[in-house]
Amino acid sequence: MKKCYLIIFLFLFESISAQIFFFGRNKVQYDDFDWQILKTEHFDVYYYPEFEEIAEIGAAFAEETYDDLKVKFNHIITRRIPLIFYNSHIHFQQTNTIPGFIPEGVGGFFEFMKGRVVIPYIGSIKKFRHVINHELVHVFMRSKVYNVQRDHRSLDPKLPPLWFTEGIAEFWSTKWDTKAEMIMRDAMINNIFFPLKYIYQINGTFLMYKEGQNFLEFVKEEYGEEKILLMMENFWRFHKFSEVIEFTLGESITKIDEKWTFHLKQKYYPLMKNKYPHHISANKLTTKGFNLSPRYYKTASEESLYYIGNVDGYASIYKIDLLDKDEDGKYDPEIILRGEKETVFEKFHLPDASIDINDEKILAFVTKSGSSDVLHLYSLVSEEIVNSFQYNNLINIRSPKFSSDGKSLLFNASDRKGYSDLFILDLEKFNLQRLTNDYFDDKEAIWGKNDQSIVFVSDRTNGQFSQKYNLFTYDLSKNSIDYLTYTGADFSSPHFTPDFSELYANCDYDGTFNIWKIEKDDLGNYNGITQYTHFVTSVFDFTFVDSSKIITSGFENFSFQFYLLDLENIPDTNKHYLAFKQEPVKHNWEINSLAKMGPVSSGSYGKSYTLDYAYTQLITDPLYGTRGGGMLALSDMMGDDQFLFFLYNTAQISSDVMSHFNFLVSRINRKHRINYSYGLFRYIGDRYDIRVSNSRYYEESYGGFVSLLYPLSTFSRIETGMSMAYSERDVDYNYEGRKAVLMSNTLSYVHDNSLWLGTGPIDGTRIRLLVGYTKDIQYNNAQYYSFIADYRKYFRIAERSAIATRAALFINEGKEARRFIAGGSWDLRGWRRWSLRGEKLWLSSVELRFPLIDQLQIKFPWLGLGFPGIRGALYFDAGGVWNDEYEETLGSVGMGIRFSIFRGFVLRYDIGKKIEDNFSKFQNSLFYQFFIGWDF
Amino acid sequence: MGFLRKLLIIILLIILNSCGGWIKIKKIPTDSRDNLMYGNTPQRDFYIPIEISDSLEFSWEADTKGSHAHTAVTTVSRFLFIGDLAGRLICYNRITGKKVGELKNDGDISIAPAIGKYRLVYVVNEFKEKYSTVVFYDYIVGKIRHEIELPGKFVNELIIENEFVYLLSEEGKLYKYNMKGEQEWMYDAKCLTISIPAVYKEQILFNNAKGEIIAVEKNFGKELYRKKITKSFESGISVSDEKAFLGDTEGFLFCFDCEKRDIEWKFDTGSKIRSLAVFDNTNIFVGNLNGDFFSVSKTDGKLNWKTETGGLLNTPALVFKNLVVVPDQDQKVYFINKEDGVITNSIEFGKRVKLAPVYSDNTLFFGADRGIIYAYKIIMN
Repeated sequence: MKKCYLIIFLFLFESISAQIFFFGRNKVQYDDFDWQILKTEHFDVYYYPEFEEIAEIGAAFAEETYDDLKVKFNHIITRRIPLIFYNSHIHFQQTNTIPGFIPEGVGGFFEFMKGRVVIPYIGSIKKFRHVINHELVHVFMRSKVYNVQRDHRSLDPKLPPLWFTEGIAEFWSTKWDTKAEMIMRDAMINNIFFPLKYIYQINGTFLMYKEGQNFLEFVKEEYGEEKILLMMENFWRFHKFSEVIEFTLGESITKIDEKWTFHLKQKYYPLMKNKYPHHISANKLTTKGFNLSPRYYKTASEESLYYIGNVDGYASIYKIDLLDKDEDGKYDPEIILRGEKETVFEKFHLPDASIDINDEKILAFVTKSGSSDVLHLYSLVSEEIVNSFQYNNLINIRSPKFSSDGKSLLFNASDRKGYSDLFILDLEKFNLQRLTNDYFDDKEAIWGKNDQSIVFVSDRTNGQFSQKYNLFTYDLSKNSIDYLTYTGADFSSPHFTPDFSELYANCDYDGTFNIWKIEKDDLGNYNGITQYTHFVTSVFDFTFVDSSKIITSGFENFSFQFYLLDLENIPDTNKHYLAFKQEPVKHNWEINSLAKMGPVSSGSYGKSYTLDYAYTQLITDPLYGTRGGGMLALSDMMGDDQFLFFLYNTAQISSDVMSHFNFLVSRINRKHRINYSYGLFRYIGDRYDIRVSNSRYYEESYGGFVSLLYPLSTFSRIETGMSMAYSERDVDYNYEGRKAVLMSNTLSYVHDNSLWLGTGPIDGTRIRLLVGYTKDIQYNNAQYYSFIADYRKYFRIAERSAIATRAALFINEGKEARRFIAGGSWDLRGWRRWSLRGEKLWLSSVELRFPLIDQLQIKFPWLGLGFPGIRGALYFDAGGVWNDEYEETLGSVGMGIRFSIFRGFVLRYDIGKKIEDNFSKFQNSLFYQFFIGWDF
Repeated sequence: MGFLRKLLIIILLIILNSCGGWIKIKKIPTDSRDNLMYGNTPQRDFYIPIEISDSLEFSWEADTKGSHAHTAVTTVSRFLFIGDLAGRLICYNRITGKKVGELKNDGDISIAPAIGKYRLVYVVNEFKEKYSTVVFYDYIVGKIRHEIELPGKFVNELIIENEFVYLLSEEGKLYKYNMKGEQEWMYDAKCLTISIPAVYKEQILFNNAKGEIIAVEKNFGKELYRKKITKSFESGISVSDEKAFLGDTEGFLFCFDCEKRDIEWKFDTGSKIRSLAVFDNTNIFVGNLNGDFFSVSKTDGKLNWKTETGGLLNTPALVFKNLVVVPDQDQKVYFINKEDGVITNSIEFGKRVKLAPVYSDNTLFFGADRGIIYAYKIIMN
């Protein structure tokens, strides 16, 4: 019955808490979305009014994709498909359709419970279409595979492996593009490619996506595209997917792998003849982490590189002093501004983030802060923020650029309609001027000479190269836009040389992003491009050091590092010129309107609740006998409002059945910033709760509860709860029983900005403060105060090592105060789990956490086992437990190992010595303790 | 009654219920002939030369408790046979819908069983194995006579003719067996083959994923010709007189002259064709995966009419003198006027329609998810 009680208890006090009950970050609902619904032939499209135009475009894309996929899959989806659109990634991160946090790199998802497809719009119509296609492939694939299995009466609810699921979603939603090419080149050339046999080792990574896609491209070429659908249609036939592949392709998996690997080697190894890794043809300046948006800054006394990097898990602004090399020729980056630990610099939006710096050493950068992005101006001289700009109608801001005189700031931003447009902020008058206002994706703008014009990247290209990202100019005097380039390639990161005499940009004309110069004719008109660099993998951004030297951010070995190279050293024979052959088409492209997609209807969103999950359970044990019950969860389409129903029966004899029903009914609402929950419960039966008694007892309890959670930010929140319950308890077999009407109130403050590795936190701080008061308002049988202070801080000493500290105090003071429990692998190690019980408890720990074995492989003749990421710990614990009088201080020292199983749970094993006799002596022998659970 | 006894009885009932009785049919009139294979004849003839009404009366519904592939029922006398994807072959009384018996196998039966003299022939794609089993079942005695393991997968419909059966695997192997279970010959096209083969005179014709049409001589299994005519086929062939009709993955419907061994005409439907093209005396009827259904002149391939259903047409239609009965995987069956392509009636099943419609004794048989067979009587005017 512990389990039943545990569930009720959890719902009473933690019904709306964040990801990990005691601590955890918060998913903050900054915005109150006024959901509307657009019904097309096959879809229910949810959107909010300001975003209507893009939502209709998305609906049209979805219908087109449906027709395309029904042919590809030879399959029909018979239910209506819910599509939920957000106008930005920041809004998307607020969604309650899934419980967890959504990382920056997630472009959308398809969730299985209600079959919802949830997609953010990120400023580009083309990318929006791609993501819609990608997610709908998931919808079709899942339906197809589910039906194949169900048709064959297979009870095994498996899906194809993730590499196939994501691979086919990419394969059937987009063409093989520059990004995919860059990833595979890097993987093959730098030996980080994983054949099918070992692809599980990169599960969930972007490399896995691209390898999956590439494998299917290979299958299409080598065996025929029809084989891909056959893999799904044969899915029922074998337990292992590798056998399905073997059967479908008619060869062993080893042979297929060999062929695929050889095919990739044939494709990519010859590239090395004319293309170069970054570290070969340039000087490597950094070695660790992700380093982006380099900005060179020079004065008489300083020569530095400022940039955004992520070396330790938090994206921050770094500086490299280019005049200060160590004896090995390496630079030591210094953190200028720590990001992602506090609300004001909540997120840096890697890899899109960029910075700029002006002559007054003011750094301009953008972070998410609360409900939208904020443009910050930071003085590198006074080391403080001098100004910040946040606009209600601008959600995402990117690419700030100072004008030459420093009086204006150019950037691109997306508004509530989803439009990604160009803006100029006057830094003296603080006026904001909007330059473009349309659904074309305008971005990465830079000032032209004398700040009279702007060069920017846009997908407004029309004609033969429709929707390609070309370079455009904006004439500020005429407010007119003209083509600067017109090719079938994508451009990015334009930069003028310091004297504005020449313009360079990244271009993917040769299959990956390299640096090209935009050439002018004698009249000064741009008429072609010349390739300068020939890196085998992409350049992401660069900055001019002088008129010919540049520092690039290059992608290599699955990281972004800086490289210094001199463009003048590139021989002319390596520079390839491409002239603009076509005259650009002047008018812009248009989207097929929804009107062409067939009958549609629209209206406001009305809540309807559908099942999330249901389960039933029958338990029998020698102590409590046989009990049974079930649980049901319902929620609305947006996941904002959830109802839980829990019913259980604890009768021991048939005459008790009616009187021994236990239930919990609760509602949890997360739609607004204040999350609330309330509910009713009844419990009756035997229970064993060591916080009350050392033996089991009989209790009947019923009542209700209300709780509120107000997130102050992503990192902090206030929680409060109140419950009122009638309780009749028979502790220690006191047959007179104890009655009480218990009213309990709690107020908590929680802060959590910790960074986690596989087994627990490695950086940051976690705090919980709680005060509470419980009183029997009827019989006066209980009255106690509660106080909890739990403080944990993690001091990072290396990339994967930290000293973790904890100090905690738990107090319940008063009549019938509940006990706290300690002992075991989670707090006082060495002491028997939960053997220490008292109304007061203090705990303190210091633990050194470090990587122990990065990869342990055991190979049997028939089987191979791999254990990655085994971590070690050296620890010291101390604490005490008492009721009225303090008894003794207990402790332990020791070491342990931890191992995370698929990041789901952690196995822990500790060895050490207890410190006994009021902290006066070590135990004679050693203790050995095994358990599961995260590090504190 | 004690709890254990109750439990035992329940278990016994479950076991008994799951063990179907084997199919045993004492007598079939020797001159009776019905739908003995997919498409009724080795030429895949889906034309019934009678006029029918589009008004139907529900007759019966049988739940096989399984699922169908995109195949059809076969009927002989008052019996109806269907295989399911859980490996069961079930026999029903065609008139009443009552189950006569079933045979259980561990795999799936994706194609229609074929009925010969005293023999029921069907193929099981075996679970967890890379081979399939051809079963020759004696339905008079109620006994399996032969079980032959063949490599690969069978999703291409059988041909039964003159007491021989022709089987075509997805790997492109064509087999001829006699009713004693003896292999006469095997021809290997060595190519992915998703095709419904058909007979033209002394030839077996089929197409494949390489876009070829292959003719194999019936008696000795020799390849007569192998001609590439398009990118790829995933449908099948139907033969009328000297012409073969087949649709490709690009959406082209071809008329192939079997004597000249060349394309006579082709018609662009615009989307992939997976179903068989069916015909009457003058026209060809075909649907594509975009949900468009076409009537095209047999002689020159000119369009008569096109009907857009918006569904997924991957199963062949049934043609009558006045109407075409078109199954749509998107949960419906349409009755289309043959003259102008207008949908005069439809039946909404609320589930994916999987089986090709079959006509027998004024009754139309349909099949939809999951494993439901419907019998509708045609109300004559």
